[in-house]
Amino acid sequence: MSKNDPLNLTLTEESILNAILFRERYGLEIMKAIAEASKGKKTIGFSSLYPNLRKLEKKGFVTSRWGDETPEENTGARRRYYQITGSGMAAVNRKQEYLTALQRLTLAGEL
Amino acid sequence: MRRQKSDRTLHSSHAILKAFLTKIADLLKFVVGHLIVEIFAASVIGFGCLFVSKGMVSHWAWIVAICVTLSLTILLTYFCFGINSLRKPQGETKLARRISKILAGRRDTEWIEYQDWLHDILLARRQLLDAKCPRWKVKLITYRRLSVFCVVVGISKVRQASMSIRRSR
Repeated sequence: MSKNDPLNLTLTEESILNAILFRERYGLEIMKAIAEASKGKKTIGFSSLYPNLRKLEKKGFVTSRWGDETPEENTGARRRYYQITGSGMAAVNRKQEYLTALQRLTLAGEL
Repeated sequence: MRRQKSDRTLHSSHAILKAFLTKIADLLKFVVGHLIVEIFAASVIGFGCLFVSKGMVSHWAWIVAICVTLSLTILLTYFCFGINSLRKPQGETKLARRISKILAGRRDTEWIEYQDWLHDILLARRQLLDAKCPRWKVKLITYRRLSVFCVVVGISKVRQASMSIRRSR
């Protein structure tokens, strides 16, 4: 099983991909979206988000662009928006299919 | 040759202008210094006379006049310099600026890769301050986030260095 296999996605990676499934978001927005969707039960920190975004970008599941906003006044750092790619969407779908199949299999087993 | 000459003339005119501006700044400092002392003395005398004319006992009038002038001076100083010091980056913002300077100055790939992280740390700080979160708490959170940022970027740098050493062998 390769590293790029969608079934190898961690929960954090999956959450990030789902957060940017329908619209591009920047880092802090992704964190807030995950916290909001889980009603505060699941949160990811800065130290987990950005390395995971880099990993997903390397895998080709995510693409990014620099924001048009003015850079931060003290550091000159810029905002970056992340967007899911076609293969990222396919990975999410494949993982979802796998989970659905697993649930159906369990049900069939019970019967 | 002609270009060199014009460059030299430009440099010397710049030096003359700089020296002239420095002299003016020194003169202004001197004048402002004296003015402050004179304004202080004038306001003490003014307040003193005002209080005496209002029927206050003379020695008490002068003591109150000095106190009023001193407190006005303190307030004015705080207003002028306090606002300026708020504008200057302090504590965690200063650290963030230093980190950005180190990373951006070396044109590191880490700066390109992680500047949005730094941006979001400072954005989160601003949002916390806007949400009236206690200043000490915001400071603590931001310092922690900046330290983690430094550690992760540092580890990534060490990893890159070790990989390049391995490749060179």
